[in-house]
Amino acid sequence: MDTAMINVLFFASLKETTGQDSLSVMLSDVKLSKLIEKIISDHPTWSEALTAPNIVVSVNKEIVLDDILISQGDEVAFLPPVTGG
Amino acid sequence: MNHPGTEDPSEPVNHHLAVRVQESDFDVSDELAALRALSPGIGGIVTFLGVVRDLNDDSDVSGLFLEHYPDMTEKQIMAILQEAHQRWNVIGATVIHRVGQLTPLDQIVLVAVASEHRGDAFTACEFVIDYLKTRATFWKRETTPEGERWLVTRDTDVAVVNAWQKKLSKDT
Repeated sequence: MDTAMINVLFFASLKETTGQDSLSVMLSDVKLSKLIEKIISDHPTWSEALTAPNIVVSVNKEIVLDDILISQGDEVAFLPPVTGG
Repeated sequence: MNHPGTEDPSEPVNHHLAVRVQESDFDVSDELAALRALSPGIGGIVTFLGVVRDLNDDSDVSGLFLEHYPDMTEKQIMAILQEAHQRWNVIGATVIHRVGQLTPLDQIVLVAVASEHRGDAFTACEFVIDYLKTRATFWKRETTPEGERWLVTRDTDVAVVNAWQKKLSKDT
């Protein structure tokens, strides 16, 4: 299996919590849940913020609800509750 | 993260539907004139203009910062416009949403819907702004005397969309 580079983005409050707007994660093709586990194990202080019930995750700019497979080059984003308009 | 300007709106499937997310201000008259010029069949244009308020949740607000997810946000709004276009008579529609640092009295969002008759224009305009508030990736951070705070989705806004869904499922 190839080692994949997954691009992870943080927006709004999560950008402040993590202190960064993006993160590159080197992983073989993984399920989304495993990617989140990996990010949290690398950064335990982000755990509460990233797993809060009102956080939505998108993959390649589409909101995902299932534990889909993440592949090399995918863009995964953590989205706080939206407040437009 | 930078918020680019108006150069890259998402590709509209219907050229009468336009979405722009931008830092710069906009001229409502210019936008309405452009919509009006689309067709002599237009009988009315309904606009919603959102403005930054100086009060929210009992706190004085001196500034409002807006962030979005470039490309994703534009596509989400375009999907809302397309749904409105399918449901009602919509000859043309424009959504402009500003991002970056704003202050009270600033224009923040424009929804303008042109239709043959006012009924569809009013309904579609309301549908678009109601859905935009809960279905498009924008985030607001207010500056108040107590400091900066990120806002969270209002339960009332979610309730409004839930009411739409109930109504629309009954209609179809």
